[in-house]
Amino acid sequence: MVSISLYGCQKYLDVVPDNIATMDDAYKDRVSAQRALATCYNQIPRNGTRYDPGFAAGDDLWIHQFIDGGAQERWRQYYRELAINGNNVTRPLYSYWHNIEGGSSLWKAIRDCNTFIANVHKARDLDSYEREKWIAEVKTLKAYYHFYLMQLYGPIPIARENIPATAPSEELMVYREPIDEVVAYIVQLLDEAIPNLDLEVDNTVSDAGRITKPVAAAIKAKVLVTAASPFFNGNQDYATMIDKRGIALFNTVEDPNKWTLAAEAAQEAIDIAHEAGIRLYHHQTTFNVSNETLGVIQVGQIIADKFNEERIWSLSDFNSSSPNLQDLGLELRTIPRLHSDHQNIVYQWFIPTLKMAELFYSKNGVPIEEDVDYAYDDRMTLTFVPQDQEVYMQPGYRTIGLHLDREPRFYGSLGVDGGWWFGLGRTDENAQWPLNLRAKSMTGGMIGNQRYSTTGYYIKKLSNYRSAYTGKDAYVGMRFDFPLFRLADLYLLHAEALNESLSSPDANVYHYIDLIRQRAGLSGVVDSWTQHSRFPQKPTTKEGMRDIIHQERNIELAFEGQRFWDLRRWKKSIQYMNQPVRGWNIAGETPPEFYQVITHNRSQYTLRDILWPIMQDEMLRNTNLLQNPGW
Amino acid sequence: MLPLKKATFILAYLRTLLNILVLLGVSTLLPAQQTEHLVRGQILNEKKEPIQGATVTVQGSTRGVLADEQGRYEIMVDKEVQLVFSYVGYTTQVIPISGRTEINVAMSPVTDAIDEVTVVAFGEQKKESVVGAITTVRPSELKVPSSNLTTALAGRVAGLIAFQQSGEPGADNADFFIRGVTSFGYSNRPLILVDGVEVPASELARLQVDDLASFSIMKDATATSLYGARGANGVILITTKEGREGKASISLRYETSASQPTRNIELADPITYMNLANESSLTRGRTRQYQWEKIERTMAGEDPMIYPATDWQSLLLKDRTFNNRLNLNVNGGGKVARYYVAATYNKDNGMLKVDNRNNFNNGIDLKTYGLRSNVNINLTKTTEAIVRLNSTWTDYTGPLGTGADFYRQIIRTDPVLFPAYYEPDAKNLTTEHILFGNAGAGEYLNPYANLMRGYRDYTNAMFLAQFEVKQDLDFILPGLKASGMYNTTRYNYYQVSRTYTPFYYILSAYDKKTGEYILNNLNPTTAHEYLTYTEDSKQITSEDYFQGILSYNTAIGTDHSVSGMLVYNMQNKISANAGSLQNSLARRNLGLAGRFTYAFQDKYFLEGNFGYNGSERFAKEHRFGFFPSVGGAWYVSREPFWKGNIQRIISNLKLRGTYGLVGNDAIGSLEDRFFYLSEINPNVSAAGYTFGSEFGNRINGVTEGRLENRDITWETSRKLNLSAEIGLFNMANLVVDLYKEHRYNILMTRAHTPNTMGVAVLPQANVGEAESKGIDISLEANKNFANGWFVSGRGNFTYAEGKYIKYEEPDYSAFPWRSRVGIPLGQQFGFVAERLFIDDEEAYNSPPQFGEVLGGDIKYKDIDQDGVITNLDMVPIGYPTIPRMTYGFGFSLGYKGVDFSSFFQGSAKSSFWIDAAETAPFVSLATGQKNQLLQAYVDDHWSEDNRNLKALWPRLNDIASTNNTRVSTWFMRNGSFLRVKQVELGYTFNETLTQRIGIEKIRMYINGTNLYNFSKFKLWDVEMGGNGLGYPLQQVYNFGIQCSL
Repeated sequence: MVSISLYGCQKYLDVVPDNIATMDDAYKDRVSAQRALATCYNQIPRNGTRYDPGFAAGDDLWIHQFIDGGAQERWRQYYRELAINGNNVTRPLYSYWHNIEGGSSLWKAIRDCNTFIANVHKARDLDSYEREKWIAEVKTLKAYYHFYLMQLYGPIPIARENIPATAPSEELMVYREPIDEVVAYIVQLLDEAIPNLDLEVDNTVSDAGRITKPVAAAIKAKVLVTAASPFFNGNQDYATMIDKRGIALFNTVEDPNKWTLAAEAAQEAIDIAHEAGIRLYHHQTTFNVSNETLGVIQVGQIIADKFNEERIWSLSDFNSSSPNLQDLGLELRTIPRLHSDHQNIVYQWFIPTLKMAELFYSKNGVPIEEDVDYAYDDRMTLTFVPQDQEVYMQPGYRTIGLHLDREPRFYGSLGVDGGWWFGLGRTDENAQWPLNLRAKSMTGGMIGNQRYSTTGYYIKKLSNYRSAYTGKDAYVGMRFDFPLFRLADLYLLHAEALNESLSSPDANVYHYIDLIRQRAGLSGVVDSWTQHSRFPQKPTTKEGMRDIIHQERNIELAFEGQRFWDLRRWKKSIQYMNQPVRGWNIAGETPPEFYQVITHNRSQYTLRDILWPIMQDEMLRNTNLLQNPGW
Repeated sequence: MLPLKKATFILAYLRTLLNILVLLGVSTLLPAQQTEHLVRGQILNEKKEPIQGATVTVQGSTRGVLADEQGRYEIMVDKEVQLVFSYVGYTTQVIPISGRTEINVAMSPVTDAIDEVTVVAFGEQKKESVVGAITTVRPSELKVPSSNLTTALAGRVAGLIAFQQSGEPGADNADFFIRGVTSFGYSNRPLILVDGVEVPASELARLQVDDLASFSIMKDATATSLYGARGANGVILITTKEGREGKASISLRYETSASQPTRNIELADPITYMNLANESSLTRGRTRQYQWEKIERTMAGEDPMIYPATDWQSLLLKDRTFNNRLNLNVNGGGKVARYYVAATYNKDNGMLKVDNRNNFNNGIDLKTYGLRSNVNINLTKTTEAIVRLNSTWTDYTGPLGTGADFYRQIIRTDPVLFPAYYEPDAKNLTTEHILFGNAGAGEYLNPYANLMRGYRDYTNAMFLAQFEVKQDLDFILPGLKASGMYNTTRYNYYQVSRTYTPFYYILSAYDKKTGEYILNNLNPTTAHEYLTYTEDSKQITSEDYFQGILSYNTAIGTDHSVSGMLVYNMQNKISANAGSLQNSLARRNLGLAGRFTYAFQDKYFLEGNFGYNGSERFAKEHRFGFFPSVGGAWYVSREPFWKGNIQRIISNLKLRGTYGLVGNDAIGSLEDRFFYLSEINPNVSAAGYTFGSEFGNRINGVTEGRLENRDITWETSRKLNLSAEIGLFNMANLVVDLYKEHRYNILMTRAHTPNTMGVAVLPQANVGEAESKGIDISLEANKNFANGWFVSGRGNFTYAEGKYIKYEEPDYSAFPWRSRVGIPLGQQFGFVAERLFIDDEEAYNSPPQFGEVLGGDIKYKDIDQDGVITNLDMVPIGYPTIPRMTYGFGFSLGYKGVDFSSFFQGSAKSSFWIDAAETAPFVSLATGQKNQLLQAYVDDHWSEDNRNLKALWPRLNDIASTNNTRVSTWFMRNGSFLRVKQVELGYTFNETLTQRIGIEKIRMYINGTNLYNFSKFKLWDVEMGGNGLGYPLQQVYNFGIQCSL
């Protein structure tokens, strides 16, 4: 009797129907499991947006002071806050550890990956081949997320498997692992993944953006190059990072063999990429333009021609032309206002610094300060654009030497005062948008208090010339995916690793770098330096070649979210980030007024600023964590 | 009924015996006196029934007689003595003879009458046998001139902490907590039961005092454990009146009142506003905001269309408003059926103005209606059926947004930027719409336009239908009874808004000489004069409740009485628009509860209770909880040794104590149900990813909400209560309750989960513990004088203090001041503000604080001495915002037809914080806003000329200061106050006169509420605490008339 009534009671309280969604439903069948897979992809840090410090927080960009939304999340510019105030421990900016202030929690991303790996076998109609492939994709992502955290924070805990939420607190209090172990674990994951991945996606229209064998191989090469680089290889600056257990988290003795391993991995990745049909991109156009103009627009098209043959991996989720207010697409955040009709749709969030204008080579393919034919000392002097440079600059326009006689990538990457802007609705080479950036100029100059560049430069490279302004406040974008890896990057990693692993550069070192130069319309390294540089022997020494590779890398990959990380691993961050932020006096209406260098204030950059702080709150939650030095 | 009757009879007998004994005992002690004057009379009780056995003694002597069956007495005395009339359970009266030969006496019972029954969980008990802590108040004490019952609670009920923070009609519910707050879990609110059925606080607010038969609060374990999983926060138990046999008796009450804010916020005048705005910019190194010309011309009072100086307060707000209340009830019946029928109508108007250029009413107009019908039917001699039907409904018309919104908007609007509306310029002479003022591109806040641009209606209705059957089972076993009750509660709510989009104008040009101006319409394409329509939220819920009770009550011999009761109940609640699958599922409770009592010689009482409850929220293993309690009472004053002087002083003494468990299943928010299930959403676009070269293959992702935890269960409370009921001088009654409560299994987020775990939602577990203790005291005294005067006084006092015992938090061992363990519940953390910085140099040389810090900004103490002010420098500051102490006291006195009463209410041991961000002058909290300047800040702020380091407001700033707006001791204020809550003067017309025209009784009265407040805090009514910029509390002057036919 009692048991019957108790049963009745239980039943009365059993209000939950059987089919309510639980975790098992996420892995019931292939369709569900695929959603779980997409969840793992969901959290890839978004290169090409203000949320990625690699893209936004380096010394290559500056930010319009008007776009300083204060507390209002909608317009918050974390990179401006970081540049002006530096980071902090109470609410760290760009915290990919804690999911705050522009960051997102990569630990959650890793947890999702682990959940996927542990549960995907439950999907009843997922065949083993596809399952293994998906697991390999997720392992690659998991490796990538660990790598991203390692780049930001240095030594990190390794999340091999998920810890149950109900575990006792001692188990939750994980330790940070030494760099070498973190690297070994990431490489191990990638090695497990590579054999099970496809060389190419089956179907580009549905699967572009998925992880393939070349992606995993490229990440592996990048991880090993990073691990071999001076910041992570024998860095004495962090010798004090010894945790509670007495374990040193940084290796303090350089291991040159790491470069050999990195070079091998890069070669392997290149071979796999070639096998998959990935090759350097060359732009074809139906418009009737000169080769020079083609060379200029090609620089942008390497990025903006979606899913082109040079892509190894890209953010297929990226919306370059999004009309979304919070995150207006990248194009509308970089291109200039060229007409009063554009007044209400563009905001210049990402603005190149003067430093970047100086970075590019002369037309002879060597640094401007080395070029024997380039009037380096007069580069800041006013001059008129000669007629013979009309494809790059407006003839007769009064500008400075710095803007003349530069390599095509200069004109393709930057919008400069006195230059042209091909496309955006004007596709006649002889009727391009002229760029006049002095104050009160409607084509890119300062009018009012917003929608202009604060340095006098624009990024031309990150927009598609086939996008168009179509009328009053109207714009139609050619959407593209943002590259995370492209073949040129891999070539440059290879050149760098090989050069470091050899006592002096050989032809293999020059090979890939020359392919990139050739595409950019320049001669090979040896020829260029021999003929034009004040240091013709530079390419023949390891150190000289190192400089050349670094600069080539900075030029080729400018504004692609690489420089920030490269400077860190080269241990050049402190030097570069402390250089003054320079730009032109955009309030100037005449050339002499305009071409005055204005310095913008940025907070001092010290050793502590390189590795991100772990939030104070996390340190209190997990007393086994060691804070990064200086925080 | 039989055993109860028997017991009553025995008691009556004992009482008579007691009186005789007393009389004999004292009369033998003193010598006899001369007697020559015969006095006779009749002694009647309040129902005009004779009191047999009442004693009449001569004051100061031992001589006395007892009244006979008709309550008559005769006594021979001296002419000038005073007679003392007394009877146990009634207030003793002393009356001088003054030569009279006949003295008739009407005795009134003392509240703690011995045979009084009191409402307890699922029934009634004789008051003397109650061992639990129950405070009962006469409903009439809760009568205030308000249509919201909750506003009357503060200070009236021992054990209830209450405070009110808004005076807005329809949104003016007071917050109340039984014995304060003992949990930091989701809910601290008491369970409210009307006629045994759970109702929300909003329904309590709508109850009419005239309809209530009893109002009690249950505080300790014995009183509440029958409610098992729902009783831990205490229970408010209310019963409504039932019909009485007899001819129909009609009672009518009408009140009309004038209502005005107790205190308005004082804002600076426009000229001061501009001058200080300039100061705020200049002192921070920015350029002045207002040019001299504008200030001077505004000061000169030039055309307000060109030089606006808008007093938004007087433009939007009325000085006072008038409200009406009407309540009518009829009761009566015959042998078969009895009825109580009541109807109520209340009309409350808000303080917002209405512009007659609109043809709709956008002022606050709240009408509430109620209809109640309680019918008792004697189906058979042993069966009674009761049908209770009750419905309350509300019709509201008001502006878009709440009244409080407008009070806030006024504070956030620039007074000199534009006028509320423009008088038409030449071009707009025939324009039909109001030319609302604005600036910029029309994005500025214009509260006047917002008030005028439309209105919203809402209605809600709650309907309760209840059917109860009571059956005497004496034919099976004498003393056995059964009853069953079913109730259904239906609630609906909907809201409709009608709006137009105001046309905004800006002054585009004006002629300085002629004063002519040209207006420019800012939003010609988007504005429109016609109304658009929005359907807002709708709520429909339905709730069913069933309870079955079996009880047994008997006496064994003359010394022992025992009783037992079992209750089965089930409750089912569903909502039509729950928002999610999990929330759409029924909310259910199921329980079995029991009570067992034993009494020996009516001196010793023992009681055991239990509740065994189930809730659908928990996993099967934890679905049911068992909550037992025990208690005992000792009627000390009934012991033989209790006599002589001690009895004369302490006429009555009862000690009681209880201990037990009570649960709380309201853990986690209403939406957060089924803790034993993980909550995932397997198909979410935002969690997915787009693949494909044409960006066309969006694969949705999975989001994980809650993690599964099968172990989550009740919050449980272990309560100990000790108390004494003390009768003093047969005139006053004092009840003191001491209690201690330990609350455990409080659900909390596992705060120490590091981010490296990667969980999207932090897991929760029953890990928190809290403790509270306190004291409730109530005192009541009554005295009638022979000359017709009567005086009564009452007071009560509640003190409750809680603290965290176990609280999961990060490891604060290095920063012990950050830990919550051992500190008061609801403790606020903040920075210790030392003073203002003397000058910029001092500010630069001090530990870095937040953002730009200059002289005159608040200097915080570097608690951890690490040379920088961070969150680790926050310490516990002040008292919690919920007061620890609430008290009230009052008196009534009367003479013949006139009565006068007053009531004071106070609160102490609470802190609140002036919201520095909300009150920061000149700061814009959102686009188009600019804060007003409080006059108090004008009078007392740091400036470069007046470097007052203790100034109320720090150095002015035209943009939000991240430093000065931190929670700190700087803006902390003491929430204590004592207010004159109510004063009432009434007059009852001579009954013999009124009865001639067929009116039984007619009373007229005037009263006032919230008449004066004693507090140091002057910016706004201190009771509003941190909510001071909202809708102010109201001061009410009221006239009422009550008559019975």
